[in-house]
Amino acid sequence: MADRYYAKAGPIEPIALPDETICIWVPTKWVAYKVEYLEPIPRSKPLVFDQGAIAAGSTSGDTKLSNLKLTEEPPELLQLRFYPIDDILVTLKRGAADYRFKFKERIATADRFTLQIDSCLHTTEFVVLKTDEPHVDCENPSDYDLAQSRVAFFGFRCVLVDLNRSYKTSEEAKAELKYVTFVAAGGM
Amino acid sequence: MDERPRITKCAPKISITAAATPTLIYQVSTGRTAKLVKLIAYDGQAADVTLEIGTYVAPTFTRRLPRVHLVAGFDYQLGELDCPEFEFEADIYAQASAAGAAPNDIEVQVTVEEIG
Repeated sequence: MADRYYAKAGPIEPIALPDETICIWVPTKWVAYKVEYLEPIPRSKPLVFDQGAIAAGSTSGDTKLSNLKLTEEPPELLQLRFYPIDDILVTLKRGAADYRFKFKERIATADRFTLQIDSCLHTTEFVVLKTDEPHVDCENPSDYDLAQSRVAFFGFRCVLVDLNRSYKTSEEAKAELKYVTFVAAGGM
Repeated sequence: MDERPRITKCAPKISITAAATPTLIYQVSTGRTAKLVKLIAYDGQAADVTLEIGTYVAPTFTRRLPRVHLVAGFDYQLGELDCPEFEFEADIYAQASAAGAAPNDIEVQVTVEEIG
């Protein structure tokens, strides 16, 4: 039983350490990777994204977070948490189309109340693989115009080794890899 | 103790320029409520005026805090410890017993805590 997992409550911890195996859900299969290198990414100015002014009740539209671009070879993975600095509702997408934090009929957003209810921000944790830079869409929920709409990110970056194995079910992966962390990168 | 999460917001400075006319001083965001926590007002009139804080659904202004007496040419400040925490479920308005165009206006600015 893995003692690491994605979106673990408490301060952010890496999903796996170097030389450990992870399986990432890439529709529609679990793809196996080994973590080769891991480093923390502190909350810092380059990771504070400002979508600019948003009129009262309006949205910023989808914005690609290009500073979070990852290399395809070797494959990289980002494990991040985030919070809005200004009074905005943040919708997060993996790539341009895959909404995160979704259920059947609604998409959950993060706002300034999120940090107060979930001080470690584990409910905002997400993972992106290789070229799937996150996109955000920010909404101004107030009746006043906003001059800026900032979202801050922090977490870990992993460099991976593709094990060239994939599995239809987590059970199959576990049977073969024994010790593996399953990572939900979206697409389910 | 009210442990609901809340965020502090400051409204722009508003000028009340007509007597007994409800003037919007804070627009509460949809889906949230707001508690007034700070207020500063200045009486630009030559005489003392009475300032009222409340809600307004035309044509009715409903006072939500006790009336405040503003002394001519002086400011009035209501701090967090003293401000009644009435929870507004609608936009916040103010009206003054007398007001005029600047510099004879009544200036009002509030800070609220929005609860959502």
